[in-house]
Amino acid sequence: MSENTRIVIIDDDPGIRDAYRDILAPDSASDILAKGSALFGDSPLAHDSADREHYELALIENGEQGIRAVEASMSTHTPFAAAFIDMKMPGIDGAETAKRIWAIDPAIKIVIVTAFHEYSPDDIIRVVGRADIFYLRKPFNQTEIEQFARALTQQWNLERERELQQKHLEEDLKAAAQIQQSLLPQTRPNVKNFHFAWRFIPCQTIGGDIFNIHRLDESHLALYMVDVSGHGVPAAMVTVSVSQSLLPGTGHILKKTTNSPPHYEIIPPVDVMKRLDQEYPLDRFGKYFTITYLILNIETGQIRYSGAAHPMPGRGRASGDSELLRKGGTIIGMGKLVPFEEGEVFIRQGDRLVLYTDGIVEYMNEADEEFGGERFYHELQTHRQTSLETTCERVIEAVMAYGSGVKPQDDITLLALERTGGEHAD
Amino acid sequence: MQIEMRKEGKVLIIKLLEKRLDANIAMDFKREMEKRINDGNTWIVLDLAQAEFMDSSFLFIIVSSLRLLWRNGKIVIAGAGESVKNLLRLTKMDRVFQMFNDADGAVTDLAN
Repeated sequence: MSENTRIVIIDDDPGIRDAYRDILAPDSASDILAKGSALFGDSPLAHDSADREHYELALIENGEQGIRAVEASMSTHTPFAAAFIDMKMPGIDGAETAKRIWAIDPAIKIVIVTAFHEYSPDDIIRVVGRADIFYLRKPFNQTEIEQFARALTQQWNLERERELQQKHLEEDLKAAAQIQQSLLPQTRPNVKNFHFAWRFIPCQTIGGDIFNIHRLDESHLALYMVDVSGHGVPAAMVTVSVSQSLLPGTGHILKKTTNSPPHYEIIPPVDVMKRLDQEYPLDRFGKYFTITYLILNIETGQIRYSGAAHPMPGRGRASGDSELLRKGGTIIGMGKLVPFEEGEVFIRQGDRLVLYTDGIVEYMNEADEEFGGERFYHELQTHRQTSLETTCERVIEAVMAYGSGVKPQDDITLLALERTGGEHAD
Repeated sequence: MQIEMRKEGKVLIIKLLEKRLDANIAMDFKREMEKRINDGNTWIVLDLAQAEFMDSSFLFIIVSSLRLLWRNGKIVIAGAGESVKNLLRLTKMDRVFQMFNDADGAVTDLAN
């Protein structure tokens, strides 16, 4: 983008307007001088003129016309960077003019120029309603005008550049968020006798939580939930990498090919943890993550699971009892610091299982008190009789209500499954 | 970050005076730990008696500090309250870091 050097001068005195022109647009002003320098060589004055900044000036003689000029500049997308406005003019005065100009173009930099002592900067700020107005006393000298013009046009251009960068960043983030969304389950897995529901609320546009449900073969599903340390772009990029590694088809963590039929082997959860721990050492991204990983046998309801310092999944039995799935190890990336363990449970008809990230239990209200595990399980229990989908919804509502709408400090993720039928007679 | 340090023999006692050990101070703490370890301190007691809360990013710094030492020394934790203990249990770090009720107990143990 080329620099905006457009400045509007609003002053009823033609002599003053000429003075502005001589200072800020010396080429157009001093034809005679320019010719002189061509005739007589490099006179000090001509040299001075060549070194000076050149601005595109609009010289206007009263407030109303000034406002119209700003309006026109906005409609042609050629806004002014700055305005020098005389305070005392026939018609509306400088302060009023400034106020109306800012209503049209809030980004323009404005200098009020006045010879009159009755207008203090405070008086002007009171009329205009903004404190970022500049104030220059007449008679001004050339240097003052030059400095104001340079500083204010530079500031205008920097601000615009920053605005554009900000916009690009936001667009990038939105695009990244869409990519991240595409790594979450897109449709509910269509599995006989099992039902799934989830909620995901990132605390920024993109976040460090990721989860998914994949089919490993006819009778096994893989479920995982990952929470990468930190937030924002770096954490989100690690989630992308991890979710790719955890694809059953192309990743190499969940399944391996074998020579004999069926030519694949499902990797047990504890070995999935070991592989991840190897694949994602702390030093690789300077990030670590926690995970719960489980394999659900949809014929028998068997769940084999392991975890890495992730909030422990909870199993709610149809009978009303509940328990935590405690087996696992420490954070991924520690390099065998603590051995991983694997657990096994069965999900019977009417049983539910929930996976979640610490964003729920560590959600803090205004008094810095955590929502906490107990409240979380209480909510799950309270809404036990509603559909799985509704239960998830109610729990998230309860979390938000607890903080009376305080923005989550961390991503909030909840994934639940329920066995709705197909129980073999034991 | 508010911190107090003293040395007893070969043991460095780092007392954290913050109530919340979280991401806000984790980076300061990281620099401090790296500095102390690079200065040759390998027997370290972290006195967490003042801490009411620790999050995983802070724990991460403690663990990475331990990795800096590798097998040349030890970091132990003293005075951890219930909340901090819970995090250590959840992350199975209670198996990695020896815990003591107070700094004096830790120092006595490390000195031997």
